Amino acid sequence: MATESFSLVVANLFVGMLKNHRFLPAAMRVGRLGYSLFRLEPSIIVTDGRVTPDAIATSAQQAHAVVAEWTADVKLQGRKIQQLAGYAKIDSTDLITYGVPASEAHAFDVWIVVTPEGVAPYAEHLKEKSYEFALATFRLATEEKPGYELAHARGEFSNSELSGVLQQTWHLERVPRGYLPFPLDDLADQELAESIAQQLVAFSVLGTEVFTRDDLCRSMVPVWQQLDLTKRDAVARAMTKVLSAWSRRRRIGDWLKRIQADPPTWRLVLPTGLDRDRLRRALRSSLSKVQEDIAAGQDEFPI
Amino acid sequence: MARRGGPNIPNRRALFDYLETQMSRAYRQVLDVRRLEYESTYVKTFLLEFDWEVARSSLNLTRESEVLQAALSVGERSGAAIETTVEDTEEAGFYRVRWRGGRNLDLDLYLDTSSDPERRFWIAYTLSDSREVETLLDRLASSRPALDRVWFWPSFLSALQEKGEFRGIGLDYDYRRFEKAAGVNDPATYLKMQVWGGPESRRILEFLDGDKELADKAVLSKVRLKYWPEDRSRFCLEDVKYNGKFTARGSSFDAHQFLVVSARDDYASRVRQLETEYAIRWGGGDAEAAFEGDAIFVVSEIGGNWIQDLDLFSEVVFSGTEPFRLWGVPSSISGGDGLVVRAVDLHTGSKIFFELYPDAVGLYLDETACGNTVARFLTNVQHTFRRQVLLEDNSGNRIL
Repeated sequence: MATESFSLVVANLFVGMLKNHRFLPAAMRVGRLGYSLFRLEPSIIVTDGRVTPDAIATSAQQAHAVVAEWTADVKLQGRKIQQLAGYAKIDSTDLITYGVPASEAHAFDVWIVVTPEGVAPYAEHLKEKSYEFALATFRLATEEKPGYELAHARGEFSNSELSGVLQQTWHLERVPRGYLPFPLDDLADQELAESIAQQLVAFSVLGTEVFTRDDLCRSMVPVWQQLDLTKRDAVARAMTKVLSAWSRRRRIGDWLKRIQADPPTWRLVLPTGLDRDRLRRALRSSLSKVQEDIAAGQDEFPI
Repeated sequence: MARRGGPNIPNRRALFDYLETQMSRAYRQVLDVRRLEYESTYVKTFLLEFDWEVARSSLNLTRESEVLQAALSVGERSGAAIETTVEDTEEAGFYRVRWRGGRNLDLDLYLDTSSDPERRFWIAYTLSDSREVETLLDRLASSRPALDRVWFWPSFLSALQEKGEFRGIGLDYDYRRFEKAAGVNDPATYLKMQVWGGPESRRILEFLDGDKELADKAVLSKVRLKYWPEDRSRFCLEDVKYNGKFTARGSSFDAHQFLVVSARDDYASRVRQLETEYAIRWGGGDAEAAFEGDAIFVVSEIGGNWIQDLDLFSEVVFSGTEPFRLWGVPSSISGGDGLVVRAVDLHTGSKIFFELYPDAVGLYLDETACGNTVARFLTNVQHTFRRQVLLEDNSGNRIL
């Protein structure tokens, strides 16, 4: 059993709360307060730059918005410090300029979700910089400690209804998992290896023989068009890495061949239905090996 | 039908007239001699679903006649070549399909691909041997994408039966696929029964209720009804099976046709509803919502756990074989009691994310997902694993 991606689980939890997902406690379902997802991966222009939080949720009913960021980074340095400074610069006008309705943008909060290991440095940094963000920790389930936990750590929400939900500790048996299929931040190999296997089977059914890295990304990342170039590049690199690991498996390599370096292009050669069956069997039996290969760093970065 | 030297069928109306003659002749024969060779000249009609886009893409063909020829070609059976011919008629979208060869295989099918406005749900008529045609259609559906049967869940069948007078039911279950995967020697948990008669035959269901184990398993697989849209003397006696097969006799082909079209339209509407309301779409354009759609859930009718062994369930369901036609590699959720599966529907190549727990299976449909896949999943779970399940939305409202 591989480790889950923090970013993936929190992203799905966030969307699940907005969608009033039935696996979550009723009181945690903020969709009942009128909140819905405004954008995933928004790119907002602020004074002196641009910030890209993980999501914005808005509620006409509450006349309120939440700018959310989740991160598994424990160490606060460089880019992450800049990112937090950027969030501190967001004002209502920036959100309105981005497209959030004015009535929902005048009151907003920034919500940062970190791992239990990351909470101390983040809390300290927010305090030191006097950032008025709400900070929460999220703990993934483990074999030793089943269940998930979302706990408020510091700061307050300006909306009393939302603070009633998020300024407390939630113990969760389940978190919805299917809204986003794999993470866009910490590109966990497990999820990506599975998702690429899924996409290869989908291509084989659809008769897609030749595909570029961009084709793969567009097919697999539902919000590809919304990602900024840095994130696209990171996702694309991860895709290439995992796809290369797949193509190096002997039984998979018979059908999946890289045919061009720039742009990275592959050919899926499946002349008969029998080949498609064999590919599916090979993908199933090789998945754990591919995940091990990637985890062991036996891969190379072709780009 | 349409045997060499057989009738000339240039359009659908001519077919309907011909089938009406055959249908009433068969009915009179049954009345006269109380016997008809197994469904030999009953009118058999199949509802099928076809994804043109997937067919064109997977077959790498664009012309409609070429797509149909390739999609309906069988190749060989038991080592003998089967010749498939798809012939145009004078009516666009209406075809005559012939399969010849093998062990005296001689099957004809008339295919109406045009009367559904989206051309997605086909109606196929035949007088040929029912078992041969079904075997062939199942083989076509399982061996390549695009073509699928339709999948009537029990409440859909019951609602269809209520359009006419009750004349009997068929019940079945077959858990052997799961038993075999569990390593059971000589698996034998299956049942197939048909009870024909008037409204009192419905009481067989009450008898079954007395046997909890049987009642928990036996699922409605077929309904028989006497149906007349207007004039009672112009009727059809109709068997409707859960995989979209209609077998008709009686005095009115029009009654049969009316019932088939009505079932197709109801079914198509439910399938499209699944796609428009629940398929997950991530927007991003100026006027688009950021996110539409939602998860749907297969849960027990009576609440509680309905999957005791998630590994076994997922091994069978996501193996890529009939009847589920889903492929995926299950992975465990750390510290939880569930599994997740990034699955592919081998019918359309669309992606579906499954999360499986003992009490609920959540489905997240990709925006290209096919609603027919959901009906296929639900009905086949009911027939092969657990009857008492239904499909709900996120708020607990029943969908199917």
